[in-house]
Amino acid sequence: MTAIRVFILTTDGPVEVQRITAEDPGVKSVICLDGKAVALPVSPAYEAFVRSPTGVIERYFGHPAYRLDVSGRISEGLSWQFGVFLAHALNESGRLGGEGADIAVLTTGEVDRDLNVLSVEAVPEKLMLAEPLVNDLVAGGVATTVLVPQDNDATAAGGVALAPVATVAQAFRILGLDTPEKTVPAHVAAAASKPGRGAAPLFTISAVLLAAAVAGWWLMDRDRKPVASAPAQPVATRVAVAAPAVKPPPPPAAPMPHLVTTLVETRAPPGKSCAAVHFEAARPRIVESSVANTGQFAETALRGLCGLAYRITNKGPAVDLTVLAARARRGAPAVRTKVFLRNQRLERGEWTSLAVKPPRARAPLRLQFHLLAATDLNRPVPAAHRPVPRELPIERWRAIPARIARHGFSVFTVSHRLTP
Amino acid sequence: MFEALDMIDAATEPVVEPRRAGFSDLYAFASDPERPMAPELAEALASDGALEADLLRLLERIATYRFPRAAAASSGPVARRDGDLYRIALRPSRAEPTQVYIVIELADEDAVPPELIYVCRPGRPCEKHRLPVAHDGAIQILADLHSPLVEALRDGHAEVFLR
Repeated sequence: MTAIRVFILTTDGPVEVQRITAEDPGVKSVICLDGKAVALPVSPAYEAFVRSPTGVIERYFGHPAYRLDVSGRISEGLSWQFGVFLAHALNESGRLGGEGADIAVLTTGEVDRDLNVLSVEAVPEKLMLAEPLVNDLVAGGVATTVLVPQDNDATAAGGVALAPVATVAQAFRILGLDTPEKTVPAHVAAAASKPGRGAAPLFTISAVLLAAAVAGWWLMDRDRKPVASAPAQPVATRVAVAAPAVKPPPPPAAPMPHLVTTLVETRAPPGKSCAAVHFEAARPRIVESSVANTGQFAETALRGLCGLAYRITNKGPAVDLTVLAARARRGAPAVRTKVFLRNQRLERGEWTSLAVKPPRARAPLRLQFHLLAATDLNRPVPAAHRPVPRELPIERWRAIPARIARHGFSVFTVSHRLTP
Repeated sequence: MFEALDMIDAATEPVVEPRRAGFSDLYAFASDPERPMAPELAEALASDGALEADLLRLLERIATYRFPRAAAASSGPVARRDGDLYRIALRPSRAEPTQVYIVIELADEDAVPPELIYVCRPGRPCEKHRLPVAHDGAIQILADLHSPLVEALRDGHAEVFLR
């Protein structure tokens, strides 16, 4: 079997992937410099690229933690992802090579969940810095391929034509590799052996296995989608071209969640105080209003407000619901956050209530809730179990819905303005 | 003649007493993240049990968390320390057997990610290290197995503070 060297094009020059080792699943994946105990700052991004459910490496190669040693520093950015994915694939098949290998591949590009290769910045500079290496490799008789994202529209490196690719599958065909198939991560398999909440074990096992099978079929099919029309230009002498793929059936549509949030205000009756309500000396006035999925409540005056709650009712299919809340003051650069629910199952017709202590405020403030809903009950919202910083820059808070939605979850935002 | 002058010079030079490490040295070490332990402080701590106890009390006061001793009577290296807010685990690297991952997990979502770790072994200088930023509820350091920090953490008699 022919070994292949993998180089990652960076703005500091090409960096070789020296070694990949599966680590203890209890550690986070790291990119290390040349075998030393030096984890590069890009390591957290590599961990996110590896570990399921956000990462693709575990999804395809079945292990959640790796150490990857490289010959030089890789700074921030995500353009290493394409080369790292190829290196993992080669490592799995025992073909990740070092010095002396007959084939070399140089890459840059970002990889998304569906293994599309996305364009990156500074490709001309990276190619210019790679020219001496490409020339050396070619002079040494090494079949050299430079793979770049198709959208980057780059030309050549060191006299070697480039191979533009739109998907990882295209790159695999150029390199004569088999397209990797998604594996069922260990935790999904483990989940299949545990009884679910409130469900009969046999049903749960069947449901999980069925869901895993369907998810596997769907993802594998997505990976087999036909490549883009622009053909890659292989430079390597050993090129295997795969047979044209058959267009897969469309993936099954996920059911849409239908969540209704009801604002429940508890107010003191005219002439009475909240203390009187609290000590049951006065009957409170309850005011309710609702919004469906995403929406905004009418402004609420804090004066005379004794209690505040938000009741979320599931009127659609069962969901695993995560609720993140933020309190924002006008003009403040950050919001104060709180996690109310983490993947709590709500069957159709069930509801949950989030109680909020009426804040003391001299200026208007806004409460905002991101409702993150997973209708695939075997695929919880990935970030739900993670700690959320108490203070979050407002841009990061606003970016949460788009980030979560990218992974196929439904995200609804409910806002409520409170005035003194 | 010159010998006599040298003797006079030597006799008239002020005598420099070695400086005794005091509370200000303890405080500077404990509170300043960049300040290493001065050699005279390390020496004083090794010989003065009361000063060592003062340092531990000071660290307890300024730290956000103090781990209970791993095991007073434990024999062999400690691989894990469990607290109600944080957990520290030492996990050997499979890639490099001479390296180990120090993983500090935030057991509670409300726990503040610490920035410094102090590991104090009886009769030895305390190890103080700045911690990297937490990601996804954990802080991870890759270190050599025989680094002072790892050796201190493996010692069951060591006190561990996070700040």
